[in-house]
Amino acid sequence: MAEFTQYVVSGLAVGSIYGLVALGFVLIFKSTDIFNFAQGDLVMVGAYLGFGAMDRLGMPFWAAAITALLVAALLGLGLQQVVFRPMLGNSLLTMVMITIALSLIIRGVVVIIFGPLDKTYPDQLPGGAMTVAGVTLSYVDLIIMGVAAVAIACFTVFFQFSKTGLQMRAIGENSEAAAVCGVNANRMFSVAIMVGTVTAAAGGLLLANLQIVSPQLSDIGLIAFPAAVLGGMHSIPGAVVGGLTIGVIGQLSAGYVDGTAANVTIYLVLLLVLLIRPTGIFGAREVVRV
Amino acid sequence: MALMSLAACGGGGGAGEGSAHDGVTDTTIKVGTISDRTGPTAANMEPWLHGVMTVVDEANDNGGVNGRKIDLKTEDDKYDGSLGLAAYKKLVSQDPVVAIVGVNTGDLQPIVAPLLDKDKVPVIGGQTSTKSLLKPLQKYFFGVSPDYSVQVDVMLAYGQQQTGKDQTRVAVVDNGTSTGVEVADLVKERNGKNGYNVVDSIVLPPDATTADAVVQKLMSDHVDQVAYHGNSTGVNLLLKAQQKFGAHFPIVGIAPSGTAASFAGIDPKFGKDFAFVQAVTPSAIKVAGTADMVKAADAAGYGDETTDPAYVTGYISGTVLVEGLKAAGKDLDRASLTDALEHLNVDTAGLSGPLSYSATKHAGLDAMRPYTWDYKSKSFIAAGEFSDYSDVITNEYTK
Repeated sequence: MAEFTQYVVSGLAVGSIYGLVALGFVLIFKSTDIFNFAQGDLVMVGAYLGFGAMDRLGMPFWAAAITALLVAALLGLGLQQVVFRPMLGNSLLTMVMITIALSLIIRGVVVIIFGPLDKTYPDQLPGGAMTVAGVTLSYVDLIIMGVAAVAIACFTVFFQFSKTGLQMRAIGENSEAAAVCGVNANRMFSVAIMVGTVTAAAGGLLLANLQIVSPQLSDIGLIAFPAAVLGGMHSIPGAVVGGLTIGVIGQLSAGYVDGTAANVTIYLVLLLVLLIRPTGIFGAREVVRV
Repeated sequence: MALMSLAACGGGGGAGEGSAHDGVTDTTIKVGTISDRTGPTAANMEPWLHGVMTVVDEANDNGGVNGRKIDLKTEDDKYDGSLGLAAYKKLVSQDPVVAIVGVNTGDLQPIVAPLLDKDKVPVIGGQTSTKSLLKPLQKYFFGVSPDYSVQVDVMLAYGQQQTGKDQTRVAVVDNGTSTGVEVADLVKERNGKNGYNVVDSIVLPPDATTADAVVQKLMSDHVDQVAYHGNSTGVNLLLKAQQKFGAHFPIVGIAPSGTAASFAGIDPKFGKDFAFVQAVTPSAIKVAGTADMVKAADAAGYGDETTDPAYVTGYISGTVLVEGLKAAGKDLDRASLTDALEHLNVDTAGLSGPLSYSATKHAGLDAMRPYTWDYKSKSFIAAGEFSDYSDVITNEYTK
């Protein structure tokens, strides 16, 4: 039982990062109908921004993280103005192709700036671990889970109670009706993409404490896709639950079957859930008046 | 260049009219490289390529080889066999070269191996030689780094030595690629021999986020030693998980698994659990050839990479190329270069063990030793001499 619990705890630590990234992915999709294939690359960008701030500017981790998130917000704003805004209203295929192109461009630019060699974060977070009821909890995992939980809670409060959050939700529900009610759709799109980029970057900053920083982090960031789909593409709590579920399934598969089984199991579970609930765990069936 | 060809008696294969088709003109020699420049193993492959470039730059700065400048055509396979094959075909026929250096990606080697006899283009190895290129002997392949059978022999022997036991429970952890399967099979073949009892074969994919589950399984199976195939990211995850669970067992990895990043963020108490096998001597360990290599690297702009074994391997791959081109003489083409390489004997001045080729020996280096990391000096430390491990090497692919 302790072994099972250990796998679940390890899965929750990784899954909280997936959930954070999936949250940004869902937010962008919900607000703009853009299926952003570059979300994984924005995770990588966050990790590199943190590395750049620590390694090249000599900042401590917390300052580097804040700097990286601010730069990510500006990057999101830039992407909205230059890439996403002009493509609104285009066909789904066009938007998908543009985000794939964006993904390749981001990856190429990162390699040009930082080079292809692996980078590592300075060892600034506390090492070590504690054991509770036979389950080992590393301090890094606890910090990651804590930071992810606080970030998710802040975003939830923002969407539920702030005026901007309510306007964003209104745009997500029905952009035309919201615009008629006086909501500035373009401003909300900008905020959504900025927040989506910031959550991806935050995921990258956390992931970089578990992983070596390399362009391959974008592939790990892509696991946010099944997390978002599993939870429901329009559901913010669903993204978080989807991320945690994917993280736990991955660890249980790796522990009880094999490392290669993780992806198979994740997509098998995704398939089964979608067969039963096509809108995902938290997705609501859309009712259309005919 | 300190590295010298001791005995090179290249045959005078007909260059003449055929030269134009082999990437050789009166003033230039086209040579191709295929390596992962932007994919998951780029962190290891780029220093290797820089080592090759250093030797080529040095040769060109000294007037070229037999009056011709080397024009290096670098191709990026992104660790993808299909992209690598496209690059290979381009270098063989579309933009012909006289030789290819690299074909580093393990998945690419079984694809290219059956083509070499038909294309008759000499390929000089890089950091990896798989079974497909060595058994049976390939006339046009000239290896540099030792093959996986040699690596596994040294990995297992050193790992067992670290445990202090005569009988050990062995696990192999690989990344699930074709070369990973090759290494896992080599480890499993040794089950029951020399006190090795193979109890686990686990895949840690390149896109894994943690190795917690892997280390828990190793702990529950009471594994004594681990043979590791993969890159520095994977081993760093393993060490982090060992540190998290307070688990100590020696992990010994293949040559490309050992970079400074492998040990980054790891408590030295756990970092000492990892060693990797290598056939070359990075510059932190001074040997006769170190000074010249460092000088050439500084001139080429890669001075900070000479402590990386991958760079040194590239430097030796480049040296084999340049010495082979010299030995092939003025009538240079693919045939004359192949003939010259087959008789080449390179003194690497201590940067590796002996390196020579013959009609029946194309594997390249076959001496290895383990390396660990010194956290104080931030450099690699060799565990003994190359000759210390000659007794355990079975040369399974080439004997």
